[in-house]
This record gives sequence, C-alpha cells and structure tokens, in this order.
Amino acid sequence: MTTPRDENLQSTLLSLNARAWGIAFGLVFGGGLFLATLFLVVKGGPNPGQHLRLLAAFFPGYSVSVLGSIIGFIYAFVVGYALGRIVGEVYNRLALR
Amino acid sequence: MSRRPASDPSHLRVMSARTGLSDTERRMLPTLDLAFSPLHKAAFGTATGVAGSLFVALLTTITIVSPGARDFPLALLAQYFAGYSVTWGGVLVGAVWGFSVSFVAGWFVAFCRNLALAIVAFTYRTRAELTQTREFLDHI
Repeated sequence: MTTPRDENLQSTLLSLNARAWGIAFGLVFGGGLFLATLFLVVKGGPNPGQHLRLLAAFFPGYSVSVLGSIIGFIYAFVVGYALGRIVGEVYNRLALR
Repeated sequence: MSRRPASDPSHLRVMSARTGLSDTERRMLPTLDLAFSPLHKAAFGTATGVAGSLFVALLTTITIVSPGARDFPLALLAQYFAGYSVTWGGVLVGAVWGFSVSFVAGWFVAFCRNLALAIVAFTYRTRAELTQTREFLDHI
C-alpha cells in the first residue's frame, strides 16, 4: 500500500523539472557562445570571428568582442531556456500521461 | 508507449508485498526503485525532436523574413538535410529533418543515461551482496 507521500515522490522523480532543464540548456547554450566568443577575442588576428559574427543576423547587438560575448550569452541563454523548457514540458506530457 | 504509466503504482505494491524485509527496507525499496527509474526513451526522443523541429523551422523563418539575416549561410544545411532550402517549403522540410535528427539524438541520450544508471544500480547491488556474504564466507 502506498502512502500519499510515496505517490508524490513518484510523480516528482519520474517527471523532468522543466524549469531546471530550461536553465541547464540555457547555461550550456549561453556558456558555449560566451566561451567561443571570448576565445576568438583572446586569439585576436586581423579578422577575428568572421563566421561567428554572422550570428548578429539573429542576435541584434551581438559582435565578436567582450561586450558581445555578454550579449551573446543572454541571447543564447534565452534560446536554450526555451528549448530546454519545451523538452521538459513535452516529455512530461508524453511520459506521465 | 509500452512502459507502465507513472500514475500506476502497482509495481510499488508488489515490492511492498515482498517478504523477509524489515520495515525500513520495505519502506525504502519503492523509493529506491523510483530514484533509479529510467527515462522514457521514446518520450524523450519526441520531446527533443519537437524542440529541434521548432528550432530549425524558426531559424529558417527568421532568415526568410528578416532582411539582415539573408546573408547568413543557412542554406548550407542542405549539405546534410536533403531537399532543404531557405524557402517556405524549406521550413517544412527543415522541420521534418530537425525532428528526425533530434529524435535520434534524444533517444540515444536517454538510452545512454538509462545504461549508466543501470550500471550504477548493478554496482551498488553487487557491492551490497558481497558485503552481506563476506561474513558468511569468513566462517568457512
């Protein structure tokens, strides 16, 4: 015989925390773009980040610079959060129905 | 979806009915069962598939609609996604490809996660059984 506490624990453990997944995806996306941008800034050269700077088409204000890495982090975090949130919500709806 | 639904606690009742266990063990076993519960591979694959599909579709739509994004070489995706192009038809093709690729990736991630969890559970169980039998073997 299961107690209400057990049932609560079961639904908690078997479901994904959509917000946590959103934050995790956001940090991975944001951190990835942040580090990639900073790496190119530190590396320098005559034309740093000639491909990465194309992201400015989707992320207005983004550039391959220190400030751009922070702006890119924010944009990529938002995109990653949305994707992670979708994964968590859809999984819960399918797996826990 | 062949897996037992999460709302069905029948497996917990079976575990609680096990004999020869102390009250603490009887209480803890269902909890442990849940702590090691696997990810539903198909559901996780579908979830990542939906996210990937929306991502590719949105990316293509922005490239078509926004004049500033037209220089972005998104058409290179056609190298991997047969039939894809930065057009309204390409939005649909990209969405299908995005779903397919993301579904496979998500399914595989869930599979690896379940495998790792099963190995951890097996290691714990084996260690516990060895600890239990050590005393017995000392008496031989």
